[in-house]
Amino acid sequence: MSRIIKDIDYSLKFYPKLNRVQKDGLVSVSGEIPIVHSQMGEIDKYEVLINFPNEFPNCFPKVIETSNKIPRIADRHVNIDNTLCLAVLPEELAVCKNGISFKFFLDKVLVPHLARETYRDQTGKYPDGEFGHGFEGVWEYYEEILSQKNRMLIISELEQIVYSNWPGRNSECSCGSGIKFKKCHYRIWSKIIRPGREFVLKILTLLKKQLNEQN
Amino acid sequence: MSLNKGKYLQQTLESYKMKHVSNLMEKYIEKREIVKDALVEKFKDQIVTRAINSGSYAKHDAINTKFDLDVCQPFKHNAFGTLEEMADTIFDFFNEEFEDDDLVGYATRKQRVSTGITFVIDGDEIQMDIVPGRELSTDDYVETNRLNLYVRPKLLEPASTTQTNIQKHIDLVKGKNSERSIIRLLKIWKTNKNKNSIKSFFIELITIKAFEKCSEVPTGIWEQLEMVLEFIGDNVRTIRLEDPANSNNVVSDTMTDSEKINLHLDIEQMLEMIESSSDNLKSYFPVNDDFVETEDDEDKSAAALSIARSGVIAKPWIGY
Repeated sequence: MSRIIKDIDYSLKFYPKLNRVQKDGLVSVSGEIPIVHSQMGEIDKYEVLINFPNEFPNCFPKVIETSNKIPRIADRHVNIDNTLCLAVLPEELAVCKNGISFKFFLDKVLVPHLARETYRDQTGKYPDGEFGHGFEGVWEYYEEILSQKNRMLIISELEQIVYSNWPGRNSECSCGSGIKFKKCHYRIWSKIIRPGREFVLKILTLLKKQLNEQN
Repeated sequence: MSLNKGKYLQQTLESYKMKHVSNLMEKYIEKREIVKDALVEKFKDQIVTRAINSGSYAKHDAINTKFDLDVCQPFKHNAFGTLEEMADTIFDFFNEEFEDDDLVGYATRKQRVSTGITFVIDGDEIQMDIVPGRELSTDDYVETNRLNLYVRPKLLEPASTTQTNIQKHIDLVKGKNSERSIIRLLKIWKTNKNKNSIKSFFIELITIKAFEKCSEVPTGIWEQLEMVLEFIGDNVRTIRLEDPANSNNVVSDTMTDSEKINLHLDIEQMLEMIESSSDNLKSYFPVNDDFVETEDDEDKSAAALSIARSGVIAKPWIGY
């Protein structure tokens, strides 16, 4: 815990309107996050309450937007427990695989997410789209990362990633492109397996189950 | 965060563009053509050509809160016995012609060199001045564009005549885009602060002079406005500005000495206030709230987009 507190305190030097609160042994951060553009200065601000699950720094902290600027509906990426839905789960775990610092989370995840909400308020849409509700969003994530719309083929490729022996980095890619694996599917597969083989297996099982039900 | 003066002034200029009142303009232009047609029909043998457009709209330095759709009607050298007769005939004609016109707001007026008609369309008023002018000599107008005008008497000033050249006035600001922007800003200030003693023509001439006298014209719109304001502040009390179409018409004499001193003081104060806080620019050059474009919102969206894309997560997820 002391390591996390140290990490939080260091990060808060860059966000002076956020404060660390400790109550009943639980650490949280609350206060204001300014959305600052390098040239335009502050363009927006949000009040937040940030809690740290036991899995942190191997998952994102849980954030509740307390200024109520973001409508508390699923379409605005607010979960039933009022926490913000910051990323599709496989992507979150891929990012957090080796642990993240709180400053990285603020700089690279939360502030960009809130800026996306500001953009949504201004223009009525999210800048680069959004992943769909629940498991549909997980499908869309894999569709995008694998550039594949056929869900049977997605299952097949995920099975290959989880079960097969990967080609050597300098061997020909198994997709039949004729180019070296390291220059072809290696990076994508690495990203997919990054949250851990066990996690991908779980996801794969759920995706297969859902696909069977649909068929 | 301090105001970006250049960006704010551009936003102000944008909000006063004539394009925002294009629907209204169409109606007035239609009315102006009716006025020109009426002149052709009535005086067909006496005119040199169909009436020409003059005023700020023709010069492209109009602002949408106050502008004129003036016309100048050139008459042949042998038309009318005297210039006074010309001016009065035109007044009488329009007074009668538009007597029952529903769109004419007030009685047609005799003005110093023109006949004034105020049209009211959909609650908006617009002033149209019809300036009659006569060739200096037979068939001279086509060559020189010069016209003689009758100047009606006013308190302590007897009637007189003067020469003008509308084309020269239009050409004066032609191609001078930077000057025109500053002229429009100064007109915005003049209109919003009711500085009625300052003639638009005076603003045009002194702005052009400021640009001519500046050895190195700055590039930013605020820097150019500041340069012109400093020039006006420094020179308004002493400068002689002649009508380029007629050197006997000393435009700087249209203001009294005390009006010039007041203008000098106004400008000095304005520069000091803007120096102390750039936000004060907003009170001198307010945007036209009716047509202000939400450039700020656009900028904010662009800034939000750039921050959003600086993260490691491309898309949010609707998790349930």
